[in-house]
Amino acid sequence: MNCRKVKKLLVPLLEGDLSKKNKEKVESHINVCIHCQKERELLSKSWQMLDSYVTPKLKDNFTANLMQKIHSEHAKIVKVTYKSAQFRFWRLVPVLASFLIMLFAGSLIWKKRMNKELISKIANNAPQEVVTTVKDEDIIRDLDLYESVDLIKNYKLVSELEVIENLNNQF
Amino acid sequence: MEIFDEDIQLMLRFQNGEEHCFEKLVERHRDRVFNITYRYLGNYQEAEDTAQEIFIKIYNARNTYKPEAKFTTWFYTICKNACLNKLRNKKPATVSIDSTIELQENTVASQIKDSQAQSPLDSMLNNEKSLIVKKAIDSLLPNQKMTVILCRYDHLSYEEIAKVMGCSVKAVKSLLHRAMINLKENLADYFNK
Ligand SMILES: [Zn+2]
Repeated sequence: MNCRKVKKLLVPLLEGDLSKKNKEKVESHINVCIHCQKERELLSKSWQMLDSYVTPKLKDNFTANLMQKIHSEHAKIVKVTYKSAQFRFWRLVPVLASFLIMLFAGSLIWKKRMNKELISKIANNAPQEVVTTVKDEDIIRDLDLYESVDLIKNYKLVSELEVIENLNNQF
Repeated sequence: MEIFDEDIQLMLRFQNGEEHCFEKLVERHRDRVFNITYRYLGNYQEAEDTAQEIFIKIYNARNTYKPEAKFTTWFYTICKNACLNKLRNKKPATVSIDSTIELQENTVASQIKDSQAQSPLDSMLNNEKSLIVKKAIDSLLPNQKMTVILCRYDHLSYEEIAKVMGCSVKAVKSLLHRAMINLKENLADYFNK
């Protein structure tokens, strides 16, 4: 095994992550190579030195502060959701109002347009009136007849009633 | 890791509405979480804030925890994500003199408090060593740093680290390999003195 290969296997060696065969090969190289020996020593020492890292002590009131923060945030969330529900309702008011105004304006425009259409239709239909007048005369005549039929029909009833009335008068 | 068996019970009770169980969880893990955030971010205030954020996340995400999932993986994944996010949103080059002074003050104070047996010279030397290691770890790339923290200080297995980091065991070994080489180079001056 050459130095380059051994250097690559030094970390797994220190971590105990080498096969028995590779471990023997690396160790036998280190025994005769001062350079790799020094490299392993440095790696091992620096890894061990990590133990000297002293972290500062966390404040005693950490848990109390945390619980306070959690509870105040929770309260805030409840407040915000209530407020946002209220806000959502009030936000809808102008939307609804503008919708109603638009609906009203739309109906006015529609009405105006319909009137215009009707006027133009009437204007368009005006020359036809001469033709329809004949038909209308027929209709009027038919209606007259129909009314007369009604009269005829009612005549029977009226006369019957008259008979009954006369009978009543008699008794 | 058997220490987490009790955490599963606490977590389940917390899920069922026993709020005091969450407080117990915080008490059990506050130092562990803070050590991770401090070693990762290198600044006391940021580390404390991030530790708070992590517990708030655990509090809010209590219903996503399922007892069949390992508590360690779930717990460390939340820690890792919070740290990575914090670092991502952090303005560059804010860790320097301030945090160094702060660390010196904090470590000296805690060491005096913790081990009265140490001589002032020992304390000073240890503090110097601690600062050198801190600098060496600070200069690692984010993923290398997290892998070193989880492996070296929290003693997670390669498989567990892979799950937390969301990568393969092979990738974890590779990260660790590069981190160790970098640490050796960063600490070389100290050993060659
Ligand atoms: Zn060699």
